Amino acid sequence: MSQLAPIPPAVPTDADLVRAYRGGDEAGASLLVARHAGSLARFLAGTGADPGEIDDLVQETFYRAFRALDSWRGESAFRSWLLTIGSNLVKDQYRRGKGRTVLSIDDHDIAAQDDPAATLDASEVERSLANGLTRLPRLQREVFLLRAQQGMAYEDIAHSLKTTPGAARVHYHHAVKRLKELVA
Amino acid sequence: MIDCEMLVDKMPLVAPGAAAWTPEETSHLIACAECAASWRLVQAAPRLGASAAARIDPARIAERLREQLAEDGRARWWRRAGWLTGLAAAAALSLVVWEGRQREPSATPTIVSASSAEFTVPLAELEGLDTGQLESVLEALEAPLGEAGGGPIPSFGDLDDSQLERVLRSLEG
Repeated sequence: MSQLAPIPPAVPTDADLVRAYRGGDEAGASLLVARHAGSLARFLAGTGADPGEIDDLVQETFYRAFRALDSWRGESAFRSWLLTIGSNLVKDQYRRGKGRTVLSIDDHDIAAQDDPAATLDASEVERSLANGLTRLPRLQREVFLLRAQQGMAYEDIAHSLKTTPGAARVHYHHAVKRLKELVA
Repeated sequence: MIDCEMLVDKMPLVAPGAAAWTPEETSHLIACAECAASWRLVQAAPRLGASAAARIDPARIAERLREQLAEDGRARWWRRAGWLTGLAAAAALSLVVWEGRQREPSATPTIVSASSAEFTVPLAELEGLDTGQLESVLEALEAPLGEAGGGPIPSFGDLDDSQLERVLRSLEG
């Protein structure tokens, strides 16, 4: 007689956690923060936020998102919705003159690698990429980050940026082409 | 034949390990300088902001978020309570005004005191009185109000604008 393998507990989706939070379970909010805070921080750093303000920006983004949680109806991925809020926050901050497009990359940003030569190459590429991103139009920069950094599908990017998947793809390819010119 | 654009589209999936290159695509990446340059960029993108991500503390952010949302909830409660108090005050005032209007159409003008028209004097009857009688009526107007024992009677200074207007209207007929 064969034994049935125990069924692993299903990982709650973002929509499940939002529902739980709306139902009064505060742990839902904590899990959403734990799940997305890192990606949000990397994205904000990529969009040009001051590295010293990333922590505050992540906090403020989550605060704004949870205050407007009723406006998220699950049509787009929770993460892409969150990143859009973060991006708007950086844009607002920049308009008010409080923010700076920095995108500098410090040594800790370089992923450790065993091969020193490879590390040097990687760090050089990342530094160049960070600098190149500052010179892209905002839409191209965001599409590139959402696609290449966050691994999002064109459909989700399009939904977040209120454009079409085709246009998002064009922006991505233009960004890659332009970055190659800037990095070279 | 490898389509370079398709390859660049696939790069964000291969970089985090969600997809893999086929042998043919790998050969193309070695041979095509443009695709190789794109690949280096796309590979570097996920590492951007890694130190910023490492510095943040999600547990602390979640705790602070909980506090912020609780503060919001309290502020919302006070705002709602303020609205309800305002509505109740408006309703009470409307009732006072409505009661006053109900009494206005009577044939004889009346003096309405701040004690909600409990003490009224028909002015038409005063027209036939001489000065001495009027003075005694005036005294009576002041004295019984204080002596009636019906609680403190507010003076005109205690009346608000709408109540004063009603008194003036009733006096003017």
